[in-house]
Amino acid sequence: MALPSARVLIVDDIAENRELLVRRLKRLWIDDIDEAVNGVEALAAIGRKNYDIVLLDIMMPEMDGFGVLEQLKADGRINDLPVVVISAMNEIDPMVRCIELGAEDFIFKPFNPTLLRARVMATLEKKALRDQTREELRRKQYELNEARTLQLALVPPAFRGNCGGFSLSIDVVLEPAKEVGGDLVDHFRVGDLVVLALGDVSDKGAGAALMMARTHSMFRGLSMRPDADALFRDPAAAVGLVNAALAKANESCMFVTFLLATFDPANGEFRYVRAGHVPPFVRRENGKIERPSHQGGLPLGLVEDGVYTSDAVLLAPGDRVLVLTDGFTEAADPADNLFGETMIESFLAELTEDTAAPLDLLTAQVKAFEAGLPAADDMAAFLLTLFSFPHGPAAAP
Amino acid sequence: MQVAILDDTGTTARMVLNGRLDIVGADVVALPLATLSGSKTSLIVDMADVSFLASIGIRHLVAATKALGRRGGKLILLNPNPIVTEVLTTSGVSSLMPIMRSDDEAQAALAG
Repeated sequence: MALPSARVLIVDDIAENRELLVRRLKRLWIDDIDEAVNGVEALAAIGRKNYDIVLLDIMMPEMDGFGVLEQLKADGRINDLPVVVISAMNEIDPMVRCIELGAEDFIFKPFNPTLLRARVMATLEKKALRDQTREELRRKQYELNEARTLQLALVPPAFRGNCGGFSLSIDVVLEPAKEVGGDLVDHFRVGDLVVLALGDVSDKGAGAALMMARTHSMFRGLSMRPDADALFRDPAAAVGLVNAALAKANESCMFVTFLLATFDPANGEFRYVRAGHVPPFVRRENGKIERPSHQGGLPLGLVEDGVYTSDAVLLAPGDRVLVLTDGFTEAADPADNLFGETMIESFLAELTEDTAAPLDLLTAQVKAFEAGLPAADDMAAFLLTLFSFPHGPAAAP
Repeated sequence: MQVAILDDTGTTARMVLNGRLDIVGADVVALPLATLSGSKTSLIVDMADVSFLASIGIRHLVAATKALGRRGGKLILLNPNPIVTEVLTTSGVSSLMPIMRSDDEAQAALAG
């Protein structure tokens, strides 16, 4: 350990004491040593420089060692700065007081050189390990924040406009439970088709986030191909290709429950492939809820030659389709009750075409239900709304 | 999550799970499941006392199924409760791992 680079502050009003300590420290190959003659000078020095250890006398003019410790404790710096008290006060009470104020250790004067060496080295080592851990955590947090920003940037903005004969909106939400998560939501156009995707990786954290990003980019990649229209007109074709790629050499069997859907504005057909994902909620204009649950195939990534099939429902103006991950339905309140699908249905029942940011509303309802508990799972959803009245000019997502 | 392993002498082992097969539970079953699926021909997993099945749990069960399958063996799920059964059928993985309702049924499926 690079202890010789340690920065040390010696605080003592008696010059001989300071010189003795300096000599002892130099024998430990410690060179970066500053001196202060009282508490006021000590606090000023600590304000200017990051020390690795402070060797502090108690009885000094101007401000004593207790004063220094009290100040360091008051502003919280004692948590980062180890202070070893070296004092001639050969009683237990002042020693206890120093420890209570946050001192790391206590040595009686006149000190034994071996004891001093042991205490100083132990304290420095502890400090170095703590600094290292803190730096590692800071770096990890930074990386995770970067990853979160990138992940959230994969979610396209909501859309509202005209497609074919329909006035529609697409709302999306992605809320990773931790910094990054394994849920994905996406929507894009392939020719005239509106493509909607929702998935949930069978794990949490960084590994799931990579799997999520991989799945996301594969579908986006397919949408750029010259034969994209054929691949997405029956979305089972696109799902089959991505599944085969994900399942290849997937020894750990990490998988994605997935729902890929295309809405065709030419005829109002909502065609979906349900790859192990929970069925969509279709809320008809009259308030009735349907759950089209055609089993389209296994979750993505499990079986290389998995076969996928799609099914379709016809949508009309005033209808809505909501697809979400179990982060919503399996959110628990403090008594361990689940939010459940009934709550999702009542949310849908109460929606009107004027409801602004409906998925934010649903997310807020789930968070209110959890009553301050941390989210247990990632949440992702898309909501396709076909308005029963026309809107402004056409726009592309 | 508690795991008991029965009939460990033959080619078919029997694993009895009790508890929640969530992230914590999956950690507990991962090693015995991988060991048995690597050494036995077939595996009957008694799910009757599994109260909750998360996707991470499905992942371990599928990995074991595939390991057994590579050597011509099978993994059979015995008696999952209605909630767990729904998870298995909604996700479609029940097509990889047959669900049986009795010991006799399970034995017959392994013999067939």
